[in-house]
Amino acid sequence: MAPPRGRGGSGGFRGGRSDGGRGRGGGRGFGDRSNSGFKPSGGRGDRGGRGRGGDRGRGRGGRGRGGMKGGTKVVVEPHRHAGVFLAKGKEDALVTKNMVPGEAVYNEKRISVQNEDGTKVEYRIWNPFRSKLAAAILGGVDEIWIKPGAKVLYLGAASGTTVSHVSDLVGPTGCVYAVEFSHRSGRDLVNMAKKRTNVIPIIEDARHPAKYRMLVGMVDVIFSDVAQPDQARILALNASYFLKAGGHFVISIKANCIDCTIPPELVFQSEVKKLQAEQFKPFEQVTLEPFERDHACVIGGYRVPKKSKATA
Amino acid sequence: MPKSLSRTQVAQDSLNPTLLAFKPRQVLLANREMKQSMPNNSDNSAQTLRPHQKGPLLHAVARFLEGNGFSKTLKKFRSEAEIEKNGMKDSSLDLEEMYCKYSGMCNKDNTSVNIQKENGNDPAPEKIAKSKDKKKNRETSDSLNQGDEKRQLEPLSVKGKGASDSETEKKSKDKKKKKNKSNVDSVNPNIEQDGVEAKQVANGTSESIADENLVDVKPKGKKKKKESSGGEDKKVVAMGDASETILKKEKENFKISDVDATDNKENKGSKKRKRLDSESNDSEHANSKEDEESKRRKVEALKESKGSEQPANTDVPLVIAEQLNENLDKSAEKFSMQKSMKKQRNGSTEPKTVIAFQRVKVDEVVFTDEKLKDNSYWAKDGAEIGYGAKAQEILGQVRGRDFRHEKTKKKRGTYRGGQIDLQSHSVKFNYSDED
Repeated sequence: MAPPRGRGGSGGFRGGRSDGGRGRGGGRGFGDRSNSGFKPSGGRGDRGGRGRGGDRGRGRGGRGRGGMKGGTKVVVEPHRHAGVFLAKGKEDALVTKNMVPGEAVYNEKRISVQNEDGTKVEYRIWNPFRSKLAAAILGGVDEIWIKPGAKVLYLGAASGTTVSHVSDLVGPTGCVYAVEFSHRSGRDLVNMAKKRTNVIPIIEDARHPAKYRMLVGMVDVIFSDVAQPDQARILALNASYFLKAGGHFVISIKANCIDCTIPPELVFQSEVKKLQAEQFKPFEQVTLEPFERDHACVIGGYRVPKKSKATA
Repeated sequence: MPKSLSRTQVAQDSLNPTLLAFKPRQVLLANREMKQSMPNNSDNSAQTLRPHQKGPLLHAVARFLEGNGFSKTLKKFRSEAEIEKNGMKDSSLDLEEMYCKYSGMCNKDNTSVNIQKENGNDPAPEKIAKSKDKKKNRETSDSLNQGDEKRQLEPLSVKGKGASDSETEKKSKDKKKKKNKSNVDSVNPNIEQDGVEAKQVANGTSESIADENLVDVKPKGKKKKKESSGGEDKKVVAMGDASETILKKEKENFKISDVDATDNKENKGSKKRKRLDSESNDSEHANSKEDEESKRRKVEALKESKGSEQPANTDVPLVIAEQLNENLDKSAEKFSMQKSMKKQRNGSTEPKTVIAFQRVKVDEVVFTDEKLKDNSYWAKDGAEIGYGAKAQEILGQVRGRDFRHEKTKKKRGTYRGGQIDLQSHSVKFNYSDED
């Protein structure tokens, strides 16, 4: 992809919830440096939601800029995985194409790019420390199976930070069913879903898929990040309801949630075993270090037909 | 006087904990009975101290308090008894000495005294009281007229009732006052029943009108005026000055209704207010009477049951307690023995049966890939040049809270990991064997 010309730099942005609790968003226009191609613009208004774990009320002090320096030359390239992009500048960053330009979901930084034909495209930086899917991608998985146009059942959506990126990833033709049990984080999830038409928030217990079976159709991929001791069972149950034959799953396993007394590797192996007993066929496993501790991501297929196995 | 006595006793009790534990009730009873028996045998005048006699006693009490370091009590006592500091030096009474003598006396002939009390003293005052009812009433009224303190009234009136309410001391001061009033009440009906000397009734000169009213009213109001209503009227008498006008109204009411003025129920206005007061007082009066009755009964029962054991009373509980303790010790030993036995048994069984709960059975895990045996970052392909290498350098050093701290810093978006490679570094599962 040829580096597009033109000015980037969208102005300041104050988004998200209107209660203004942490409203610190400010404009960060670097308008006068006009020669560069892309500029990350840091709109740090109210976050739509909090990430799961951590960052409880600690904003950034007065510092203005983060990893991607504003005003430096950035080139956005597509990643190996469809829908995922790489912002290549002095430093690289994982980005997704913002489905709702001009809005950040959780105060993440955005990169605005003007194409040669004059259309502007905005990308959002995807922080692997906040998202296990991003961590898996950076860890180097073969396939994430989540691609534009895919229907995804997302278990354990939390506040919807990763869900927003998945929503970017699948695009307007895809659909994300985001299941979250907690009302508190579900509130943020719903607020996020208001802006993104391809996200369907479901505030329910993922253990009881029958309760939301009327909302969810057959899906291509199930992403599970529930961090429960019986997460393999939960995944299998949901897959039996909604995952099409030959569909795929992506599961993030937190070893400490299953058994913290034994080495995590044993836990992962036993979980893989459990999945195999439930008609899943794990293809690959990758550690989420250093972005998460004692986590692993297992990706595989469900009810894989024999012939497709031959191809795989 | 009784009050001051009780004060000193309290002080002494606080001196001696064993006394506090066992004695007070007995001592109180003994004191009381001694006191009561004495005047019965001799004369009433011996019990009531003259005002000029009281001075030294109060001083003695004060001195005792000072000597034992009850500074606060002393202060209060001084302010209430209105004695000066310097005036007490000349007092010759020494309460401690007195008490020592008294206790010695008590211990010496404890048994005999108690038996005496049981057999002789207790019924005696009652009899005498009953027989001398009138006299005592008069005496009380006399004492009232003399203007003695109300406290003095109490033991007398108690006698008048024929109840040995030794516990009434413990009641609060307000109660005492009310009691005094009620005592007056109880004094009055007797007089009225006799229908004599109504003018002599305690409230004396200024209330003579009221008394006259009462006397007038009484015969008009028939016998239906039982004790309660009578009590009301007596109350009225006792209320004295304040009730004068009301009494007049009463009189008018009575005169108007003339025949059927018997019950106070029909009276209106101020009378009602009056009645409320009197009713409440009456009820209290009744209650106090009941209390006294029950207490007396209790005391008697206690005495009967304990009988001649009373002298050994202080010792008996101790012995029992010791026995109990021994028993308890034995049983406790047995119990602990049993427990230890059980424990030993359990200890023998524990290592066999108890296996810590684990969701993952470590023995049954078989790694399908050697690479899966290490989940760390550096075991991964291309780790050295990977995007997470820098983060791993930092996060690999820390654990627990620090890890979270460092990770939170990374979450802010300040992380720069260098180049992102597009190679696949995951561990693949191989299914070449069967399906």
